[in-house]
Amino acid sequence: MDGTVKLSIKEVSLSTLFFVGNSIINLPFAIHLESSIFGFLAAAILSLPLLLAYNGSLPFKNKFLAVAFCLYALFCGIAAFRNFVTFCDKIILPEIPLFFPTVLFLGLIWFTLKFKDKVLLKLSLVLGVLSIASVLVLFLINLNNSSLKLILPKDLPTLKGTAFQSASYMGMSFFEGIILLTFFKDKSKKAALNGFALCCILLFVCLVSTLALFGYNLTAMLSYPYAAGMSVISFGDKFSRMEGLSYLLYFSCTLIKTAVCVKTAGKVFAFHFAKAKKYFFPAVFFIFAAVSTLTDVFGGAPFIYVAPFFIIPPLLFALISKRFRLR
Amino acid sequence: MKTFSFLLSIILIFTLTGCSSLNDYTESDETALISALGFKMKDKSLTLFAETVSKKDTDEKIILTVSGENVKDCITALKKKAGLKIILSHCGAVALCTDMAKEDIKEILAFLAESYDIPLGSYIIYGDPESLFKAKGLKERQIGYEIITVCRKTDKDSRLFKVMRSNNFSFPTFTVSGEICMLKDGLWTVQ
Repeated sequence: MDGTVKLSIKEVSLSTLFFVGNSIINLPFAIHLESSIFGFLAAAILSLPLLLAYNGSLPFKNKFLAVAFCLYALFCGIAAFRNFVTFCDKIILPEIPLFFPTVLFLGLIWFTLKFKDKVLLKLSLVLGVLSIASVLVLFLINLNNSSLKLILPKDLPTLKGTAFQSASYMGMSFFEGIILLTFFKDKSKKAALNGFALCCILLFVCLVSTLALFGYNLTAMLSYPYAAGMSVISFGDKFSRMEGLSYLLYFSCTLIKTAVCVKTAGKVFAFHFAKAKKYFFPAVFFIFAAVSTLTDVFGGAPFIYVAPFFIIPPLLFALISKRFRLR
Repeated sequence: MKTFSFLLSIILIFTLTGCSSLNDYTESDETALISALGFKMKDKSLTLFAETVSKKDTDEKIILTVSGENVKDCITALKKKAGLKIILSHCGAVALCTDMAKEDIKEILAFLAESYDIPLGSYIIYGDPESLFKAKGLKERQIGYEIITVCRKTDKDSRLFKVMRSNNFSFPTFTVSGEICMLKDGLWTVQ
């Protein structure tokens, strides 16, 4: 951060949007869906010690750690970015080449990076308030279509299923919080943790409302469960298919997450490699555009294969943080 | 410059959140808005009927008919046959012929639920789509929308997502009486 920004609702808002990130687009995964609630709760509880242990200024202390952190931050950034671009390509802009949503979204990220941190914080506040309001209002409206009985799984959640589901939430959302803590340089850890708590509430509301609406079998059949849940809402005869409101949530969270990932990586890189810092953002944008348009990133791979790339680096960073503190 | 950047970002946001999209700008003559779908088994093959929304009140209603081995084939054939951009997101009702086996119905509904294009809030009914779609509605010109109006007044909710989550294939039955599409008393359940 700039050093002048104090703990504020803007930081909490930014943290919430960052933590929700792209996880809201795809989660819960269809595999082991019966264990999704337990998996989610386990992920939330297990992630807290990691976030507490991590030292946000760690990547600024060592060049090797800085490079490793930059790679991890950019990896998470491109994963979030490509997730939303894929969603755009399939649902919002299905008939034009993938290159266009890629360029449009990169244009917006460039726009957010152009300004100081406080602009990003102000944007987060606006998007955060809208997103939280939309989740809560749509949850309340959908209550008459929901049934609490549907949340109860037929079979008891298995350990394997709970582990898979919690890994998906940890990997795609909670553990990535170390990037946010580095963005804040540990100065606003309280705001980040408040954001984490708010994110947990929001994701839990989304998860429960989706399951109470569709049950486990139907939820497992849907590609975008939360958006599908919003699609059955109608106001009278004239307004139906309100899933457009869920797109706002998808967009806000992914934009903020990607921008924070790229910006944090840029800060860490610039700290250690001041001479080359002007090449950083052009190179990153080129890589993002190329990777997004020329590859599927890991769209087709089962999550279990890519999970280690999301989960192991934050664990290592947290362990190293502890060692640095002992010294 | 600041105003330009701001306006540019607003346009990009709208484009990426579905408020406006570069590809959706198509003349109304180039699109076929589907208001209802119907399925019937004919000679062991599945026949799909699609009721399209008329552009003007004076226009004759167009009902597209295609056949295929399964739902996917039928939808693909429908898109080819129409020669227009098919829009399924306004489909209000899905009519299933009463002579269909439960397994066929399950397969059709599962496909529709998985497909993001077809609303999960579409009403599922029993009735012969061939005759239903040619009939007239009491309140609406399109039978798909007439079915929505009638079904909203009944106690039973047969929207696609409710059918799929309860696995209960008991739907309102519609029939044609004197050219008018009517709700038959009682519900028809697949045994």
